[in-house]
Amino acid sequence: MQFTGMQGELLQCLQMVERAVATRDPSEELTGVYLEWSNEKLTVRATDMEIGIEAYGQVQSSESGSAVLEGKFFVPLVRRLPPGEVVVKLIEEQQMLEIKAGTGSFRLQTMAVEDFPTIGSDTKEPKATLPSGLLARMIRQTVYATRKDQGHSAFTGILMECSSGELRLVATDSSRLCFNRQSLAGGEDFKIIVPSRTCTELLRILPTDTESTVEISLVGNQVLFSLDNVILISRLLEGQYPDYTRVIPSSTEAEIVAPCSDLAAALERANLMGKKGPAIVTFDLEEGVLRLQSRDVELGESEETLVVEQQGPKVRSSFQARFILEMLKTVTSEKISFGLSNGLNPGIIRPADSQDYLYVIMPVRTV
Amino acid sequence: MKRFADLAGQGGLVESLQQAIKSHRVAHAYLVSGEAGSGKKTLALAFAQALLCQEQTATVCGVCSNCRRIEQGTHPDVAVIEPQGGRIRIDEIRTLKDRFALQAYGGSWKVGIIIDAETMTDAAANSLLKLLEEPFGQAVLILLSSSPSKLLPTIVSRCQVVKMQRLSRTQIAAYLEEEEEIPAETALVVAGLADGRLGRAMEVASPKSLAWRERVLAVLAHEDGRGLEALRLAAELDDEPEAIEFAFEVMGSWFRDMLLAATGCPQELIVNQDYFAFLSKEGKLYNEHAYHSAIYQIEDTLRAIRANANRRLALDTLLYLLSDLTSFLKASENHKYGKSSRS
Repeated sequence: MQFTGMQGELLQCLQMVERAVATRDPSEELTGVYLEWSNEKLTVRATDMEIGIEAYGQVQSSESGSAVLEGKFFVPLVRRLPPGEVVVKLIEEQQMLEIKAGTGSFRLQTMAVEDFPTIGSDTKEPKATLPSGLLARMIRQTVYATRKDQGHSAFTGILMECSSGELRLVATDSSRLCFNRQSLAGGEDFKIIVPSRTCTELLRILPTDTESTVEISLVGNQVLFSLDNVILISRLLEGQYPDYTRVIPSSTEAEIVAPCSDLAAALERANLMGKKGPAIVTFDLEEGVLRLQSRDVELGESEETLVVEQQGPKVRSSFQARFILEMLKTVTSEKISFGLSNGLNPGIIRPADSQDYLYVIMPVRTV
Repeated sequence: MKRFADLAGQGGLVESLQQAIKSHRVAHAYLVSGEAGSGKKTLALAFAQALLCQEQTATVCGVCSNCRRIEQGTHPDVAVIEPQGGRIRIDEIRTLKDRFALQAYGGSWKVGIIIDAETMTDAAANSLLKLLEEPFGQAVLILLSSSPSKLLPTIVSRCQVVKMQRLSRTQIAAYLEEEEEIPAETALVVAGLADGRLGRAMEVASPKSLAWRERVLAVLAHEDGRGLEALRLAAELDDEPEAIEFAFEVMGSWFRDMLLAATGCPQELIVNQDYFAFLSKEGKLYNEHAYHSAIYQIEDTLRAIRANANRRLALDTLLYLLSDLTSFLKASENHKYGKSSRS
């Protein structure tokens, strides 16, 4: 019972599933990586019962077989093997797995194979199919706004909602909200809250090229993302997502259009003015000139002006610099549009050429 | 693992929990109270199995994957929290909250079991309070405690309290005979020492505990008193402190039996029935005061050892005194009920 594969391919599979290996498990079986080979196909699987990942690779195998190996040792071993052919052989009577690469030969104790959970299911219904690069971009443009601490559980994940021909991703931590939509042909309706950890792991495995597609489907209480060579299954967050549409203001008093990189650079500098707390930047807009001011009592202050295209009257509002910067980093367009209102009304940032990516940010009260 | 309905002697309790499952009126939090070894954890796990069992008949089939996983402690929807280093800390509760924030893996119930809930730190208890107030979805929290009075009243008031029932001696003895194949006479003795708790009975029935009992009784049930042998036993107990509590229970039961035998009680009430002949003969040799005093002395010594007295010295003194009951005859006047022998 053995198979022969390339180190690079084996490692690629292992790296995909690595993050799903349980770090602590009372029965220890989930700290393992499951390998199965038959008909030239290698399946590598790991799960911690929160998320599960299964990756597939090409190998040459004469006889099919399966084994579970301690993830903490097997993955680093394969990573350090020399590039080239790797021969993996299961010695059943000793419950050992022999790995041969180059001049090296390694034998690892295997773990019980029977109880390793399977993931995925034949009864899945595909809910939506979209280019993987697109999903990756949408996740990247929302995941940073999820709540990092505990608390309101639904806010620690991303809302994925598919209805009336479009897919919408929403994330919020209650001081800002990301909204991202994409029209989608033939998607069925669903509404799920995906944990942010799942989204981060998904970003690691989603190829960024536009050729490949990813299929989102619901399996029981879980969501399954399927790609050609890898699938990821994840549990969903409990709870109701609040009605985010009420948070997005329909209009603002004034609106500016500015080069994204210039604004980001100015904010990076202003962001330094925060020794203990987050840096607060005051946006002062008057006759096409945006004045950015930030001040820290102990540190000092900064002031900078940008010439922008302005519509509407003069306004003044303050925001956490970091919140705006996080958003600007995910914008691919050259220019952004920033809608501002006086007082404590929220601002809206979006790429100047798109209505599909909205960022609503609550101002900070300043004295 | 015992099937839910077979939980010996807990029939009424099991029935009401099953009824709750059937009528979809499962409370979101339970507090199971009962002394150590009274079967709290067994009950909680069986309840979890009954909730999640794929048969969905409010019983435990024991063969479906859910039942088996719960038994192995690997079910993703059942979280069991135990004290780490004597305390349950806030991190433990946070992990529980994280797990509860996800929808159930199997799509039905999520169960959290907190063993020795009274060991929660204040921070942990307050953090748990939040979860008790706003349970996520279909979730049940089961708190287990041998001293529920140590829990925050705000926690207790949010739980449905379930008290483990005490089993009669004959129930326990019958169970030990049938399920554990323990000889009838030993089973009855063990049941007498178990104080109405089945889990405790299983511990007492272990060969190690039974050996200690024999060892202790060999010293006490010697007709002429054996000072040297008593001191040897003291040394052995000093080497194995975890056996002390049990040895003291045996001693206590012995003098209780002596007292009963002296007053001519029927055999059923005697704990150490296998020594009945000896007890009824020997019991008449001394007066009741001597036995009273011996029992007080045992309790006092145990209290002193728990309070960190010099273990060896306390054991030496106690066992030496017990090996010769005549020593209590003279002093007996000093011992009145409820008063410490040292006061």
